[in-house]
Amino acid sequence: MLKGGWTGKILWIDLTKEKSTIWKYDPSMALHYIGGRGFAIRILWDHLKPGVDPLHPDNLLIFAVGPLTGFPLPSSGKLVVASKSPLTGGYGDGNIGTKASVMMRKAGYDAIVVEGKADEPVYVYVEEEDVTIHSAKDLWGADVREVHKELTNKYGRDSGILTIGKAGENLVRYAIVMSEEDRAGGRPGMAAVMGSKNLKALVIRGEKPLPAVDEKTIKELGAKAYKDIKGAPMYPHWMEQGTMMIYEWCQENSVLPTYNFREGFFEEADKVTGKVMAEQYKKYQKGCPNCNMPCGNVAEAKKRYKGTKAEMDYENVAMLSSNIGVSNMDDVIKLIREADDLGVDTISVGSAIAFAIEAYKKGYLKEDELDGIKPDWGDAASALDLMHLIIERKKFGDVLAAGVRYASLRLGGDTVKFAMHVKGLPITAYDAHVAPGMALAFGTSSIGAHHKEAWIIAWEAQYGFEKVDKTKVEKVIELQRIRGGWFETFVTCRLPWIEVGLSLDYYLTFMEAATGIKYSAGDLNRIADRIYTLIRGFWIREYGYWMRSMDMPPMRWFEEPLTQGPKKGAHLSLDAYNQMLDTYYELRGWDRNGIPRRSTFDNLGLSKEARELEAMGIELTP
Amino acid sequence: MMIEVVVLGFFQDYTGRKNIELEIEKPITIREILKRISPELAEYIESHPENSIILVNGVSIYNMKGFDTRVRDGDKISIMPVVGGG
Repeated sequence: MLKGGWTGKILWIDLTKEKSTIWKYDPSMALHYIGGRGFAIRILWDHLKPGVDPLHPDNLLIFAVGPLTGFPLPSSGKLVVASKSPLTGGYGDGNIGTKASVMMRKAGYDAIVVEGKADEPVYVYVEEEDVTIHSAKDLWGADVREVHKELTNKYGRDSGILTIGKAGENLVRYAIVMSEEDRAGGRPGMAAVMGSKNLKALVIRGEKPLPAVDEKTIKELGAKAYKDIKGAPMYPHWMEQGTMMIYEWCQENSVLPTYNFREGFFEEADKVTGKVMAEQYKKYQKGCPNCNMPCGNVAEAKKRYKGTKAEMDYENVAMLSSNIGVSNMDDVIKLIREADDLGVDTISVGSAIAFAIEAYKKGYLKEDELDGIKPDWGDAASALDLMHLIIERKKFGDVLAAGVRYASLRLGGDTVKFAMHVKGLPITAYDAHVAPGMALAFGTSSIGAHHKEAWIIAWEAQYGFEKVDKTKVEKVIELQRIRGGWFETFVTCRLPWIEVGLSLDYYLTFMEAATGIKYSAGDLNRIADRIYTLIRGFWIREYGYWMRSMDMPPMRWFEEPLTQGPKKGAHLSLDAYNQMLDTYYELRGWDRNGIPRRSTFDNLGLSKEARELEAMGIELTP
Repeated sequence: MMIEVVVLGFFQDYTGRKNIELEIEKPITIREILKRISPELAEYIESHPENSIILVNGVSIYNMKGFDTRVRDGDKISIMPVVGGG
């Protein structure tokens, strides 16, 4: 029996049948998977028919919070959105900071699952047990900000609103779920899944008290943690620049993605740093509920796009500046604003634009295939045109809308080497020519290349980029456990810990106060391992096979040494990478093809799942 | 003899600037360099070594002699916090 932390209920909405049910789930799911992505993978494994097309009505779209979400604890206003990914064909999820997370808890749910497809565009309004489906015909085609405004006017400023833009409607496979105008989550095409269900938005409201075992302790611990955050030495610097502070750090370490990850050093980086943003362009900052270290730095363009405002996070900025050769802050602000309004992932669209520029310049793409656009490095206007070509799915934009992996398979030749993705998910803003640990983190991230799990790069700089030993691989796994396990299941933001150094010990006490259960770090790591192995099992189930090449970063980093900057000549070693990957598999209890061993499934309480894979003809090593 | 020091992130709050050129007479240790550019920063880094990255020509001092690593004419020293970024 669950005493607190969890509401114990999941709302299940079927858009085809226009019906919803409340599912009182088995408490063992809470105990063994905590919440967030743990719930998501458990639900997908149990309720999704294997092999379903991600854009078919049968795919499940899951919004999940966790036992810490919404409490007065640091940065607890987060929510996970997950589904079988239309971009990768495997497990996909993302987290998003939004009032919708708190409202989902106040409405009385730990997750909301959407299946089926509405006949016509709709949005769903959830007010506790009251679930109604409304026509969204008037909202279809509207950009993210318009929808947000419209629904806020109707349901009130404190409503939790999740929406999609045109990218999601047009089934761009890296369309992203948006909230509160600039917040985004679900890179692997979660908004395309929403679009495929004709679901334009989800609005949530509720007034139920959050279920805590020991409310007093939560308040006290929360107050202490907020104080620790404010007193941290890096707090003022963080408040000034947010994640943008790492821009110049990346340049200094030659890991700033430049010209489609060809280089790690951008000659014009000085114009786009966190300092420039903060001193010359920043207007204000915004954040998620319960956060006292808001990361959303809103900057305003000054010249060409005067008045245009956008949220400047490192990932957005790097992928739409150095990675496409752009160094004018006005242009970067405009590109981000446009991507956010259209509801497309800034990282993946930056990667697609960079890929298109390179493919065009190398003769793989002709002007007429790009509707007359002549893309070039540093040319923000053609980058903007390309973005629209992709969202409208016109000409080659239609191919690019399926992601760089697909585009490279269509174009062939060397394009495969410069399609910068792992498992179909474009690499986020760290060039890894010099960083084998970060390359392994991208290679083994559970959704495809992403930094949210093992963001090892700062540790790696300190430990030594050149080292490729077991300690580094162990660090990748440790970070995957904490970042990809703990925080993605609690569900709260990892930034208080990773950015300003809030002690991890707090989270064990938060968990105890919320749920009454004394989880140790070892317990949580084991749960994280269970989730990682089940997610890997899901990929194998959906692909029908697995091989280690799926855990490899692109060949560019091995074969094309850096030609710019202080680390000129550097590249990854294939032998060293393979050695690290072997060690990684060994530590995880997976075989040398990256398939979990039968004994690993058994040890993690996943024997039934192992048998299901075996019944499909997947051979598991004992 | 000149060495070039680059200070990043909130460590600049201690030094007031990003680029510093230091005149040295003989090879000196990282510890001495930190004291020369800012005694407060030196104190912070030595008491929070896990929070800092110090590179000499791109190589972490933890793979050399730590704070006793000696730098020579023409070396480039980068001093930065273990930043986040997401």
